[in-house]
Amino acid sequence: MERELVEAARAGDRAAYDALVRRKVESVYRTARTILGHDADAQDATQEAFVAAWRHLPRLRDPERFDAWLGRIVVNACRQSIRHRGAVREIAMPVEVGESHFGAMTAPGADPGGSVVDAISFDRAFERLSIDDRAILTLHHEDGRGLDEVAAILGIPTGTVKSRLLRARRALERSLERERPS
Amino acid sequence: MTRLEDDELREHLVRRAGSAPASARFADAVRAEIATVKQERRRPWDGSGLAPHVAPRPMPVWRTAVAVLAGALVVTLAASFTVHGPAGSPAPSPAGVWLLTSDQLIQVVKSTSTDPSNVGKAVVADVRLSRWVTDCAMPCPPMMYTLNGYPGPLIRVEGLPHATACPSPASDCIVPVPSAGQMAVIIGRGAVTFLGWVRLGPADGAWTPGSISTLLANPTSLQGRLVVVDGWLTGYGGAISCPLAGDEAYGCGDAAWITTQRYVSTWTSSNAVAVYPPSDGIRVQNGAYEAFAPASSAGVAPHHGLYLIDAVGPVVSCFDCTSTGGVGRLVARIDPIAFPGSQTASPPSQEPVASSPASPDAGSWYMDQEELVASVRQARLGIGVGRVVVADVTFGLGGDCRGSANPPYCYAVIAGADPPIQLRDARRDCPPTWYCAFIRNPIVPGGGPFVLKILGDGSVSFVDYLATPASPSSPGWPAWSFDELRVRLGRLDGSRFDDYQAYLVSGWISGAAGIPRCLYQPGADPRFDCGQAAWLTADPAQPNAFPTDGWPLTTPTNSIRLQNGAYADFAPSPTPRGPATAPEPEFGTFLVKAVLPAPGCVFCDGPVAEVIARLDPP
Repeated sequence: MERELVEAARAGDRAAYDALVRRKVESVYRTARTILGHDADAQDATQEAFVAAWRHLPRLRDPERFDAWLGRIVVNACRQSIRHRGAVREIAMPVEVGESHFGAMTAPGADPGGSVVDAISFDRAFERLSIDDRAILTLHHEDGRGLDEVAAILGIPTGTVKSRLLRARRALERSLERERPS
Repeated sequence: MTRLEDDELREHLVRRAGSAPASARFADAVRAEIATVKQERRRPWDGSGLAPHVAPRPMPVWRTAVAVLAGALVVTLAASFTVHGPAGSPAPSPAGVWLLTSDQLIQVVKSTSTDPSNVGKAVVADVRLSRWVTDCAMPCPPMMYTLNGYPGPLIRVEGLPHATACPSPASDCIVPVPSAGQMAVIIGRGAVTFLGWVRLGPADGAWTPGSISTLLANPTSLQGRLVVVDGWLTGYGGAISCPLAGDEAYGCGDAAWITTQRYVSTWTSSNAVAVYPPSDGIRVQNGAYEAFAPASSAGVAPHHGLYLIDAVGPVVSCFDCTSTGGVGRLVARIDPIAFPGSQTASPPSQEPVASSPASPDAGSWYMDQEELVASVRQARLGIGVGRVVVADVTFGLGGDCRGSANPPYCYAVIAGADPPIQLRDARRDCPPTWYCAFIRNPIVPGGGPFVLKILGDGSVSFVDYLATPASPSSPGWPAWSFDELRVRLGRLDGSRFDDYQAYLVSGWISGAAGIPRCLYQPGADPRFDCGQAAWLTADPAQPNAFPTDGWPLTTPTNSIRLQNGAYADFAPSPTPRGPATAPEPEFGTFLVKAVLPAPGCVFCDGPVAEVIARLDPP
């Protein structure tokens, strides 16, 4: 069924692509949200990814690989978002048009409870990682994708996925170490 | 090391993923955005599955464009074929327009104090550089460079690599250097920025893309010199994007070329966009067309001009490269220079650059909503266009704000104004070095007063938020007293939003008469480095002394150091009136911004600030 939708969309059928967007939007958003950590950035990256995918869909040779192809575009959209951001300090701000809000310096999200590492420390540590490290951890641990699928998305061999996962994990742990009170 | 178990890692990542936005609504917004985007039917012979960044070989010029619409295959002979073929050679550019003599360059740079139209332009000039050593007591003093030796007009040449050799003899502070030839520079206010030495083409003119191709393929023979190429700049102009591409300047992306003959590389129909790389010409870095072609509504029309090129040589991975073998980096576009004519001396009094008050009423720069609306109406008649004012107004939304999450015709307006007055250039109130939560466009500033510029088209441009003294009842509000502001600027640490906003203050502006003797500090912020320093003081101060061998400076006490050149830009009599006189301090009302973090500073006795506008009539 999905293959037919991809083929039709590839041929320019907007209704078919709409159906694909409806199917994929939640998972794409979750991936972007995990990597970026902010709602608005994740929404923008999601939108960028779907627009880019629509524009380039005629160049997708194998409809069966649409998921992997889209995943790669999402990761690159997140990469672009981070490049444009230039983060130094994190502030969660209530946003209402027409007013200035200078909110407290807190990271979004609550402590998951029972966790050894608190949410704020984790987020700060995670956001110090490279986009590649964030992406591979997200795709495997949050999206629950297998090594082969991650390899297809990132365009690297499965063996390399294993080593990069390990490297990303170590990088995260080192980054978390910096969050511990001295 | 902190260990993280799989479950804990997954728990945190799931938490970060958050809850999806209202899926149906968000999907609708995404679909609405997609509805405005055409599918890219880029070269049907070039379908490449997962690796569209792999560079195909350049294809012949004459091709058939294929467009696919809603599943029906439509084969279209490109209607614009004629533009791909020969369209006549570009007219030769007259040498005098872009290749200046040293005197012409000095004349142009001096004229920037009264006519900023040439600021930012790139030119090539036949010059001789002189070193201007500012402190001979140093064992190996850092140096500044000026044009055409000394004595003469001191025009600082910035951007040159620092010389490592000491002047010889060491006691001679003004040492001619054997640096002469054709130099490419960007014209600034009272200074030029060095781009590179230039190797001229045949007959001391510009090169053509055909004549330079061999040198581009073997750039070592150019010895780092730039070349000026006369040709047509063309590019994909955003017609394609490469979502999987990396950062390569010559990889998949908005490729650009300089061709000998007019060549259109992008063809757009109502259904599709097709692109055609040229078969010859110079491949320049991606995005060069967008960066250097003049902004116009002409889509991707090629632009004929003179382009300053740095030879890069062959690159390993080159997307849509031509067959000539080498690629170039487009450094600048050279535009014709408007000469100031016979005017050689600065007029005695000039308006400040960033302000042109039209009203003789000194208080007219502070406006309420009604006054601002009236001023905007006047500006439509040509009165007071470009004025910078402080306005206490409220903004709302105007235009068509229905539809998707970020509708294109929805913008900020002055609330209640009829007809609507659009606010241009609005920006989020987020300091540049902070990361703030995203505020979706259109941005509607809140919490005035604001610094605004009145435009001539019935709109206003947002300049900045105004940081005001705590008590609205304090004398002069919303301006700060000089002493109060000096103390405040000294305490700013960048931790508050209003640290980054504009401050209004009255005081005496003074400045250096010429380039002073001082240490030029490599790596320092050039605005506050050794140079034509300026200050703001509560009482009039004259920093210049008048011995015969230069213009020694005395830093005014209890002053706020302003950026170099601020006196020339914002005081009405910026030039010295004779060999033994110096520019006098001027009293005025200025908008300043803190410089954070505080930069390294020469001639400082207190905090530093940057003047962005002068509000009172000079």
